Amino acid sequence: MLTLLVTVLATAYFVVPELLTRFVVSLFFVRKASTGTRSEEIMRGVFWAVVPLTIAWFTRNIGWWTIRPNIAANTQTVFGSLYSDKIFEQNPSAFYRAFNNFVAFNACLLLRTYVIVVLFALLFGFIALRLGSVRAKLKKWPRTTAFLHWAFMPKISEWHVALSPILVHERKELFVRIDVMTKGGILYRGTVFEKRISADGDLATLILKSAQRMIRGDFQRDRTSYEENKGVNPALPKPNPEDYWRDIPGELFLVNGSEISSVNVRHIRSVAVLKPKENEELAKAFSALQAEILKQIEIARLVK
Amino acid sequence: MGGLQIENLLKLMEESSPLDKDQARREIASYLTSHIADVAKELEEKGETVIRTSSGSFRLTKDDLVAA
Repeated sequence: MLTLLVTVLATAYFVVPELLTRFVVSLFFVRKASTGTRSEEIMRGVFWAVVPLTIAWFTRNIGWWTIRPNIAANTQTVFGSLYSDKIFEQNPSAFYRAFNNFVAFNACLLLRTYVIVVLFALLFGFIALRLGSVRAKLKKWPRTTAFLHWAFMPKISEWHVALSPILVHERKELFVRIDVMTKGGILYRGTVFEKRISADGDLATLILKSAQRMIRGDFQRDRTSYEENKGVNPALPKPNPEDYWRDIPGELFLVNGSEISSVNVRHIRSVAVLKPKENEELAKAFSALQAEILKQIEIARLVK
Repeated sequence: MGGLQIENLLKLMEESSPLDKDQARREIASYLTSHIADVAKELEEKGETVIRTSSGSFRLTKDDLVAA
């Protein structure tokens, strides 16, 4: 029974806080599958247990649920009775009284510990999600930013770092566009809609929105032809890669992670962040562009 | 996986050099002036276009034109 009690207590004090932390931070970002060796994992678990537990201990007499007196004697009675049947048989009612107090004591301490763990994890997730912005705000304290980088980056999946604007300091203005080359030599591009990371940390699937496929064969053929003939015919137009992209029908396009050969990530802003209305040159260019679009629509209508 | 490239990440992370909006506006206006027919065609066909500048890439949609 003593072994069982120690196992339950060890789990409640050292394992559950780490699991709680993992659950809460997973609501904010994709965690790295493994962040270190077994001993490092254990040390991290101990850290996530000891710091909140220490705070819970020093605040044990604050609030509506406080620890009952004589808890040291009650704990001694519980462990003594579980260790030796002889001690238990001497006074069973004393054991049950002490056991009730012991359970209430641990429940009180654990509840405080878990609340602190959840609050810490929420703060951790909140900062991690805004790491780029937080680093920018703390740029006058380079040691603090270096510490933040050291503390947060190893916990976050590399794929989450690469495929989301987590590191940049204007994340609300930016969205991620990627070009994906598959092992079969097909080039796709689109906006990252969702990514799934496998248990071993690899990219399992990538779902793209507004996906396009490049007709690379045609582009390479035209490019080769251009390179061969540009000396003879200088007026020959250079093939524009943008002309070789074709929309993929459908809302979302799924690329299997195992099929991906390489990924090029671009962070794109909307032109709206430049406030075109407030800039005469840009407003003028936009008006001209609108007129050109109308002109092209009119020409297309007349041709039909 | 053969490779992963993140364009402009260092510039985006570099807190000391915020986006030079005037420079980006000038470059976009200049690009639109010189490629107006191509951009209009792409906007009409796809609804959006991406313009690259020295300050990064910008997405221009038909809605942006209306809003301006």
